Amino acid sequence: MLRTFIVLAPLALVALPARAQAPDDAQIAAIVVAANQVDIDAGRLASARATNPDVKAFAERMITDHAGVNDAAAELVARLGVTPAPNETSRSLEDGGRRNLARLKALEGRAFDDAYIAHEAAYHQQVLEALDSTLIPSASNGELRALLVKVRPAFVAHLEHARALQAKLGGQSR
Amino acid sequence: MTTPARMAGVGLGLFALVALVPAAMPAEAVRPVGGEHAAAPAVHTVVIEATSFRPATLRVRVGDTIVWRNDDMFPHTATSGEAGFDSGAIAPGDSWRLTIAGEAGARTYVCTYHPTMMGVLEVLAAR
Repeated sequence: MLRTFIVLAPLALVALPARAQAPDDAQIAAIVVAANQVDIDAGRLASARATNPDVKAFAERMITDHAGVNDAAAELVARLGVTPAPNETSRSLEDGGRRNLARLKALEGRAFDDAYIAHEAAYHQQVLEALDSTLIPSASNGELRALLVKVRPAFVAHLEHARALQAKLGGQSR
Repeated sequence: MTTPARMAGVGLGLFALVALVPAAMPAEAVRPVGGEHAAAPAVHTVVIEATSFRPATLRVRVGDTIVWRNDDMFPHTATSGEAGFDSGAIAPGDSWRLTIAGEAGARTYVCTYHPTMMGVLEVLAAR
């Protein structure tokens, strides 16, 4: 019960518009770039500020992996001649990312580590849901869809990694 | 002049048919096992993509070489505490190779960066 409450609280910060119209490929490209960039920015803050070495290593992994995905996405959209089109969902992700950074910047030590990892778990869960419900089904270009399908297991791995760290840190219940 | 040409065509067709038969059989079935004419060690490739080892389970023999090729968008490792090997970071587009030594038996390995990634090497005795 307590755990449910803890997970739901950060979810509100990253919630995607539930009834947005199906995005086109240019909008999907902007959503993918925003989703990765938001996590890179949080990772940069956490790699500098986290005190737990496992949390720091996780943050560095997020920077590396999400930058790798964005490089691949940028290469693909350039090759396809698609210009990423910012939209309600991509802006919502960026706004959520800014709010998360502002909240995290007010924290230090163990409280920072706990809050960062809890948000990472919720964030990856949310992006996975968006991939499954909207992004993968809406992608019309085969290569774009293939990229999203190829990326999906990384989000699963990141989610599991974040949850394992949450369990190791003892969650936020103390 | 058409007859030799047609015969050559038939010959090629037969050759292709014969060539297809061993290719269609499992690789293990056509390799001599042990004895004086033991086959050379094989090289196997594990492709790393979509945050997975493919194939996740690979049957090899002592003396064989395994190449892990990273076709993913970010680095991975192939690491086994029990078998005592660790590739370190394999960058996208790079490979890492390992020749299997020691005893027959299964070795599990993981990517130390991604907890969902696991592979198994089923190691048989040397050829």
